[in-house]
Amino acid sequence: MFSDKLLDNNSGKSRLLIDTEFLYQNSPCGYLSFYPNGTIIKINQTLLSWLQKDNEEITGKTKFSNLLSKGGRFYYEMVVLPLLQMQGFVNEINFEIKSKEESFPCLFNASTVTGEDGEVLAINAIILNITDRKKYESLLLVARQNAEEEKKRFEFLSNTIPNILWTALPTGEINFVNERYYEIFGSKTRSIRSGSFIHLIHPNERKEALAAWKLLLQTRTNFELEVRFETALRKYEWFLINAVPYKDKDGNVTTWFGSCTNINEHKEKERQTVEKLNDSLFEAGELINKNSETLREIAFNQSHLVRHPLTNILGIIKIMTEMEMDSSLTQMVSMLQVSAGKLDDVIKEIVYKTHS
Amino acid sequence: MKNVLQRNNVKIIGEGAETIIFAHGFGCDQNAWRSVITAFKSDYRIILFDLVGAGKSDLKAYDPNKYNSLDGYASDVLDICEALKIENSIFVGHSVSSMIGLLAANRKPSYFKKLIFIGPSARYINDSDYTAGMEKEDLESLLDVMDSNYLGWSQLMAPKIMGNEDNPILAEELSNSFCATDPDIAKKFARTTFLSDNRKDLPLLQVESLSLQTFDDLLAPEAASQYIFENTPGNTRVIINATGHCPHLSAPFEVINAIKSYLN
Repeated sequence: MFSDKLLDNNSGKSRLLIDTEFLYQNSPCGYLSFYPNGTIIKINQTLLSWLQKDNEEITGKTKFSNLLSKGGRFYYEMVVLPLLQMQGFVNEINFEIKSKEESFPCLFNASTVTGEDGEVLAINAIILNITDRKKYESLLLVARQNAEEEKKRFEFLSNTIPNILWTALPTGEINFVNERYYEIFGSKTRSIRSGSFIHLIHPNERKEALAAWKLLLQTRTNFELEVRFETALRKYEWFLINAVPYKDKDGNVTTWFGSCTNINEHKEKERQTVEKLNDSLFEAGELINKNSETLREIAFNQSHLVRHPLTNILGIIKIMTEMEMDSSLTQMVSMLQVSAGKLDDVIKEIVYKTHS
Repeated sequence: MKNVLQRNNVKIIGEGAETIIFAHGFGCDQNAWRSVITAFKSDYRIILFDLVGAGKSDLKAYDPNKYNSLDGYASDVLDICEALKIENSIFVGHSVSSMIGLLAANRKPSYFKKLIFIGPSARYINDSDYTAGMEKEDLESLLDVMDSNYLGWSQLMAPKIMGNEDNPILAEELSNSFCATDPDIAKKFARTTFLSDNRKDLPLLQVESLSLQTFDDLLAPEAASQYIFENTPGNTRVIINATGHCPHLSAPFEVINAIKSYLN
């Protein structure tokens, strides 16, 4: 087999492949051993080449922390060395290591060698040069900082708006409210938890609001509801709740964005307007009633006045019917009697109807 | 009282008439004292606690305004003393906690009998007539390194976040992640620490104090403890045979011996 052949071969090059010292010196990572006070005992060629230094310049002469940037040195003293002493190892610590001309980022893994009484005798470390990865990591760091900055900007912006703004998880759990929320409802509501809105709603509207909210979480559409909330001053005011689902590219709701606008003044004006309108209608009704009363009185009075001569006419017609008349005259008096009777009926009707 | 003890994750161990309060420094928590306290717990009542923002302290109690200055941390020390009715105690502070102890003692001298500073510095950043070894841009450089090791924090914290508080064995193992702190709080604490200037507070100290100085302490070099020695009434300065900023971890016996000989 290929590997057996290599191991059997006694030529110099192949022997090196299994020589531990060769492996140590030429490993693709840096090896380093130092005393607890930092003095370097042993270092491999790989690391020396990264440092652009000779073994004689380093071994026994330099302390590990001298290879680090100033900030790295403080971090090593305050955090990394105590960790090593406490738990015997550290992993993936990111340091900047100074070489002769520039510096390179590294990952530092180390473990301690301890004596029988637990005392740390030496520290063994490997160092990985992560120049390329670090560039990528820096980009990630910048991206995260930007994201955090954006979040802060959103919160800042949201606090400049006179309305309450909030966001909720797809489950309906409120996970952000702006400062206005605390101004209006008081800081006792600081710990936001699911339902913190609900118990502030007026009992009369609570059930309806909860049902609407539950339905909304299923239908995932826009939402509008007017409810009364109990404010920090312990009185109920009208608010308009709006909510809009923010959906990802697959159409799943990732966040609910919502607002609560105080519409108490508007509601109050609306109520006052309705009241005014009612008053005006009542007044108009009163006026109409009054006018028709006057008309009734006029009709009543006038019908009496008209009735008096009519009674005379009816009396005269009665006398005429008892007189001798030719047939054509008799017929005319009879017609006169019918018409006067009809007129009398109409006047009686008016009197009857206008009689209060 | 319960709130204070929970807020600062206060632990009381040992037995004795006298009380020693151990206060950890930047970057660690009370576990840093584990090699030192064994030498004292049979003779003293020992109070351990985590500064708010560190270890298992209540992170919700972290108020950036309060902890914007070391005075905020000093108030917490006094809260603990009040909660436990501590008088005449010995206060051992590492690194930044040295000055936290000093500020606390200036406010309530009767709570303290002696202060012991390990790697103290009244000001970390060089001033025109003051050399402490650190420049303002070094602090920025440190904050950059802390930023780069942000991801490391999540990795260290991951098991803790998963919530194994009820399992004592796991909790014990997790205490190994004792240098893990919320990165935002850690950076704020770094700023508070390294931008602090307590030089004017030194002459006001009415309590005896001891400074322990090591060799090659990058954060609190010899000049820093020398300045404290020259400006603090009743200060003793001892150089111990240890290197670096954390001798209570690297050379606990040296620290134990120095403390014991000072107390006796």
